Amino acid sequence: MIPLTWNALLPLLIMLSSLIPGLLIFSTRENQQRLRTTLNLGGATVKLLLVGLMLYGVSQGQEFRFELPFLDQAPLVLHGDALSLQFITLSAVLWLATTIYAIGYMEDSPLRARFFGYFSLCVSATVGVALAGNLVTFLLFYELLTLATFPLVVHRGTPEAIRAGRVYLVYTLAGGTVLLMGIALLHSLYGTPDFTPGGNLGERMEGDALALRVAFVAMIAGLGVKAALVPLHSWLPRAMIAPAPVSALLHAVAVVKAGAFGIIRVVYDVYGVNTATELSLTPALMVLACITILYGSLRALQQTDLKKRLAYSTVSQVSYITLGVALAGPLAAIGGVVHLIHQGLMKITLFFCAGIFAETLGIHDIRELSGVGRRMPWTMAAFTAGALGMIGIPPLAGFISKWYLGVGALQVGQDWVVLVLLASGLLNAAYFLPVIYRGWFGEPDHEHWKRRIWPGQRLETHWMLLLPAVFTAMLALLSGVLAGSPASPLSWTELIIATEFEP
Amino acid sequence: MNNLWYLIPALPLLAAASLLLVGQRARAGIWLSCLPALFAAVAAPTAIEPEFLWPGASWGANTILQRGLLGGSALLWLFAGVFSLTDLKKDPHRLTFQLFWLVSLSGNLLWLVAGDALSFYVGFSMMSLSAYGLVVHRRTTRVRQAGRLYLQMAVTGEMLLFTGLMLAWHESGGSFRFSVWQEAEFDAITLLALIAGLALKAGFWPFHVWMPLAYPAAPPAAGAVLSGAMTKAGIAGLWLLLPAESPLLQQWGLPLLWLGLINLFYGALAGLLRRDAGETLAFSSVSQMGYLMLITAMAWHAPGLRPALMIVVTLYIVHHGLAKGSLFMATGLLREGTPSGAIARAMLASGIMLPALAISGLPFTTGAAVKTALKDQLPAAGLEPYSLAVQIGALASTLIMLRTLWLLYRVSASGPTRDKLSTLHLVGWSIPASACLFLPWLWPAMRSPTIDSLALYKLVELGWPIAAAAIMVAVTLYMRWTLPDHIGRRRSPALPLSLYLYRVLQRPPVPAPDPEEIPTQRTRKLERRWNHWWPRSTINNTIWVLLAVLMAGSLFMAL
Repeated sequence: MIPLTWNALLPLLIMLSSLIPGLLIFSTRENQQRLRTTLNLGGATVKLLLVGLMLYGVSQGQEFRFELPFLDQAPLVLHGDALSLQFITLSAVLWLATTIYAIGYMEDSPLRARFFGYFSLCVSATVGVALAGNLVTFLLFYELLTLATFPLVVHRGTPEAIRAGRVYLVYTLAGGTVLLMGIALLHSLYGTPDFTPGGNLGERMEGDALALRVAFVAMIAGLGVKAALVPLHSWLPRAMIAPAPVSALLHAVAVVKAGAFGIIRVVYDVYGVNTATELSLTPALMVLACITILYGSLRALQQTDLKKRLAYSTVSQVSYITLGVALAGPLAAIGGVVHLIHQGLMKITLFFCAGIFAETLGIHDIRELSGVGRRMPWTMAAFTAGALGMIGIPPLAGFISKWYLGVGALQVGQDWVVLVLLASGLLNAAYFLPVIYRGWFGEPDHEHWKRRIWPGQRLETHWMLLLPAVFTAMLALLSGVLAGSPASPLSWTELIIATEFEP
Repeated sequence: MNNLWYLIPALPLLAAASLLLVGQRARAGIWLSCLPALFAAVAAPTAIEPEFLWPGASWGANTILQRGLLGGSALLWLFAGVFSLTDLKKDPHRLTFQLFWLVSLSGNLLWLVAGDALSFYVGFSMMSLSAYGLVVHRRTTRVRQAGRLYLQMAVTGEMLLFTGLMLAWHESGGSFRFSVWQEAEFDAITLLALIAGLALKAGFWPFHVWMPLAYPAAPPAAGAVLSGAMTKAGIAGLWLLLPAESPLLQQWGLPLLWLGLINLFYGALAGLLRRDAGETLAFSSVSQMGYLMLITAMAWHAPGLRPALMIVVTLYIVHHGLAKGSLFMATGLLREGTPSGAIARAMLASGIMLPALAISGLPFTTGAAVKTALKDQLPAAGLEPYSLAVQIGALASTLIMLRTLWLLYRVSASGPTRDKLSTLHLVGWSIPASACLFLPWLWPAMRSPTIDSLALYKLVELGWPIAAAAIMVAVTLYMRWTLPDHIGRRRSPALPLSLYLYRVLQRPPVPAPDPEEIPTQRTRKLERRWNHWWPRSTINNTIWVLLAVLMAGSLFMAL
């Protein structure tokens, strides 16, 4: 029944490359650390190789499609197209980095088998979301992602963590239900065809504008929970209670991005830009995104807890993606879709660094960061690169996204969006620059911080923590500096958008 | 040979990397990395197009303005770098200083070689932001306040420029090339965004407030490059980014000219009231910026004169950069101590007086050449009446220079004496200081205005403000007029504003709903009543009700 060709199996294999190690990890004993590490890193490496293979195949014009019958007119489809590869490459690369980081971070803490098991499941679900070839498949993995991340959020088991986990579950499950309603409504009208660039609704029926609008609102409301659109965002800052690698994954790759990615899919590959604009669905989304961008930044300013500040910054930054989609013009679309990658790289760097500060020096509050640059120059440098990128300082990655969003807004005649970007840039500077100032120029409270390395240590912290942070910071830098080169995320995004906006 | 252009911005970054890797053994990189820029300014290889960076990228310092500035700025950076070596010897934070120095240098050179707006912007922001590290190097409270204001203005300027850039890119049909932009026609908003962004950097009144705080706060070598090279990005940007012929700019020519006059006189008068040589020098920079604005305004007013005026503005920037840079270094030199020997003292005094008077337009120096060149263009631009204002401006700038010299004299009279000055200090300071004498003969572009300035009536025009200022100073000293003490110590009103802005931003007036504080009692009651309302399957019914509300809402929206 299943055609056993290479092109059909590759999407499945990519998913299994994290699912199987994840299930095996559940069965490991707590002290089988080496086995777990091998499984984790082995899975991540295999996945990276497979994704590389698929990337090559797609750039050569090959099709990758795996199908299983599921519902009436709605099969389970795993499909590798340019957009899903964008997301999947991001998740494969960052998963490897986060796994290394998590191994270093969770060293000597209890319940590692459970942690790493769910960690792998979470990545499998993310891959599923990325590879999903139609709305029903997307929904399936989207819900799986919710379930797989919950144990990670509450991993520490403290009352506060449980409370945050409950809020998380209430928000995401309710969102999932609303999303389900939207998808069901659409399914009843048009069935569930594959995602197609430019929209998959085909011939539109007479008088269905209302139903389409309702379905759109329901789907965006459902996706908006994970994408943390105001007013559906308040689970995100609370989920900060999770361990640092989980927050990093949550903010950069998995949950938040799944929401944003879903919005991209719905607007581009289900409705199509033209239909969405005809039904005047995009302006409302645009306004919502702008409000979220500004509100998130303002709330970020109020936080003194480093991770909370980063969380509100995510609320603001992820809406750049939504904004790019909602502007419904080719240039803005490039800005939005490329920000999926850029925000991931920058934000994961920031969370890695926040985790390093917390784990190595016990720093949680921004006021305790004074002079940390002298004790941990590499970590602080990575943090600085991420933060400057978020502000949009050239030539870092964030600048590229912001540039395309701005000129894209001008292209479609929405000039006021430039003002939003201006204000957001200023606010970003206002909440990141003081942190950077403290880190580099503050006077340390502790005399021993003035020495860079503590006796008996060769690096400023565990290498498994430091290496991923420096690696992702380098990626964020390079994808900005070399934006014009053919291997950059920008070039790949231009390719995707070219197919979406084909006349 | 053409690949030299890559080396110009890259070498400072390589020097920074080598400082990180091998430490202070690589400290010579701080000045050596200016050499390719100097070489390129003289040899002028053909431009390159590094398209792998972004479409339309072009590096090659194509205009006379950029080429002249490349030479002048590289010279200043080079000698200021040499000067800083002595200061850094015992500095615990020297590595930080060197790194910020090199990144600023790289940015500065990048915008100088840029042939497209994006390269310009990248260099501009690298320079602006990393110069913050130079400003706050001394880490006292005062310095931190100055740094905060600097950063607030720099980031604001940055964002405005970014906005302007996006608008201009859009209106020029998607190109970054200066050559395209100069032919383009921009909206008023676009022009305003660009001008405001650049004006914050250049210190147009009232955006000058950061200058008198930041320059004296920075170490002398950093003050020198800040005032002599970096702030000139603002003026250069006005020439490079804006269209050459624009009816709007033509209208704005006279307003800019008046703003320039405000800069000219306000800077001079405010500077006369200060008691610190660093501050008077900074105010003199504000005042001198007035001249540069004047020249720019002339080019806007009379676009036909643009090529000729571009040479004038280039000469003026290079002249002022080197002279002012050497004076900033002189403040550092004198604070260290004055030499005890009479000959050394005389040499030092003349080396300080020469650039100071060159700024006021002393005949036979670069100052005379640029002032003459400026005045010669006024009639052609139809702005003859302003000639007198320019001459009175020269009087004001002479006064502030004399005030600075007097303050420097007092520093040296009360300061320690030393047997010997550091050689590196002397080399770094003396060459920019003497540039005002040798530059007219070494630089072909400077030669003809210098010769022009030697006509007798021009010497009189140049000389009378200096003579008048000297007499005024002599009378003041003779009558022992002094300023009331409190005026000189008045703090800049910008500082409380900057602090206020910082505080507001740290606690923005946005409601912060804390979920723990929601009155759960009331909601719990409601919830119970709701649960009782439905005999069974409460959750499902709730979902249906919510959905119905949602649908009704979207219906409403659809209508």
